[in-house]
Amino acid sequence: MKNFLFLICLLSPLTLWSLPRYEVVPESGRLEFLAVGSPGFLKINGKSTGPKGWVTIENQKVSGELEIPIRQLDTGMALRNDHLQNKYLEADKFPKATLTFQQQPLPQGWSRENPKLSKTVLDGVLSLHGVQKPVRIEFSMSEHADVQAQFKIKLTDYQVDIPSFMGVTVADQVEVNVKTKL
Amino acid sequence: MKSGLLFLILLLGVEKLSAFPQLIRHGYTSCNTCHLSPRGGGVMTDYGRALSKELLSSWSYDGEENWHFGALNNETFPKGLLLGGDIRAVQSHIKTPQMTRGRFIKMQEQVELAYRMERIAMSVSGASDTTEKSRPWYLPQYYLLGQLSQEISVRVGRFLPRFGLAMPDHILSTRGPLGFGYQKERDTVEMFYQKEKWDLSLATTFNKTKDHSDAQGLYGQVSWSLGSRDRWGISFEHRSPQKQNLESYSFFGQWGLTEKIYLLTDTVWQKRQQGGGEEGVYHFAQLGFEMEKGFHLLILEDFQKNKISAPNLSQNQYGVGVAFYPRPHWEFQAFWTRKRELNRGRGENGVAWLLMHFYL
Repeated sequence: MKNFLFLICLLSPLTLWSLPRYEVVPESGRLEFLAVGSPGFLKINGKSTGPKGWVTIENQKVSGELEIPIRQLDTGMALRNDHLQNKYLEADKFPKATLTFQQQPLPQGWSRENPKLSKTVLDGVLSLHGVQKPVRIEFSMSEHADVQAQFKIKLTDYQVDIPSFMGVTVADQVEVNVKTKL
Repeated sequence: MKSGLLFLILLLGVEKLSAFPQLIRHGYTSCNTCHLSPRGGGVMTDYGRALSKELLSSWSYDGEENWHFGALNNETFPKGLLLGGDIRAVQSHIKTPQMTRGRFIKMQEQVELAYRMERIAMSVSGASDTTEKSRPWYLPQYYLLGQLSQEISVRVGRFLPRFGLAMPDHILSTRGPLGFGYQKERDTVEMFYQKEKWDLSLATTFNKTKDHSDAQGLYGQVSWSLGSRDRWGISFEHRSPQKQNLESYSFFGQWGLTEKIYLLTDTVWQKRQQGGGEEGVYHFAQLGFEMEKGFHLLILEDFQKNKISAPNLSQNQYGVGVAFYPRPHWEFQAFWTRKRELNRGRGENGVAWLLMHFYL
């Protein structure tokens, strides 16, 4: 019996590499977002710790779920953070933003041994402020499995009121950049 | 070389600006988010006042950033009414091998009243003339600003045209010595075109400045941002004081290396027809580090050479300083520098100053 099991393992090296679930931890990444305000085209640079979640890669397809607590979002100004988290994103009701993607194909030739990927597109669903919308994500991966992903969203798509303060109004579109490591 | 500690009296008067270009590190690549004037400085918008509390100052209470310090209800006043002003003073102390002297000089006292509607704004400033003993009041600046679209604005009146980095310290070689300092406002028509990543301004100036310098000229500037915390630009100036052509070209930059560290720099090359054709170069750079909110360490370097061809005609100053913004409306700066003036045979001396600024 033991020999039989040993043989099965020898004959199925690929099963050893049918990848397990990767746990993504906030400490290994970073999230940044950029919004533009007018007048003056001021650049609101926001950041957060990296996402928390999981990713699986199986049969050249990737799935995953990543989340960010809204209260971790930091725009560099306490008052602006308060407005963003409480007034506009209503963190008490919707405490996190979640990005999910299911069975998205990786390019031909990708392998765990050579994970490097240049700009690749996958489709996901972002859940923000209680609304779910599809998003198109551009991402790349280094040879060390460092992932960089970016996508754009419109605040009004998620029923978020356009932020405005003292005569300065933020544009509807926000760019999001995520860095993490698998 | 013998060096003594020399405290210098600052040049009398100061440019009316109270702009804070170091806020580039927070993504403020353009001045008109916080100020009514597209060039920056002067009366602040409501948003600019909020920033003076939220970003600039160490401590504050709610409402302190308003011109009335929170004593009144903002709803009482007409929406669009903006009030500003500046009082600047310097404490100086001169110590040379021959003498020791200290002086307190009130350099600037100025108020500005502006009214902004949806597409039009107007501003008028009154200031005391610190060059005269009786310090009579006059109007150094006034303008009408029209916002033709989100991108295009036109300004007409009496003010300084855009050129180089609009630093408030007119003692810098790229400001006062080049005619962008005290009492240098001039009759100007300026067009400003602004997009998210770049902007362009063109201006023409007329008549004379308050100190009777010829002010007729042409100015242009284009600036751009590569990222979200930087701004770089090129300016040109063409004028003809006493019918002698003068051209200046500036390359400047504001760069927020991080949220705490920033670099401000400007280099100007000037060509003058006067004297058979002279060229000069002027440069400054300032590196700042905000240790704690409202408290900055600064490193300054300033250089000017009025005649590139003359071997011993240059002035170089470098040193360290601190800037402290304890509460909204207050600013303090102290610098200690080494100054070398080759043309005056003074060798190298220490120069220090303490600047106090109250902005309404």
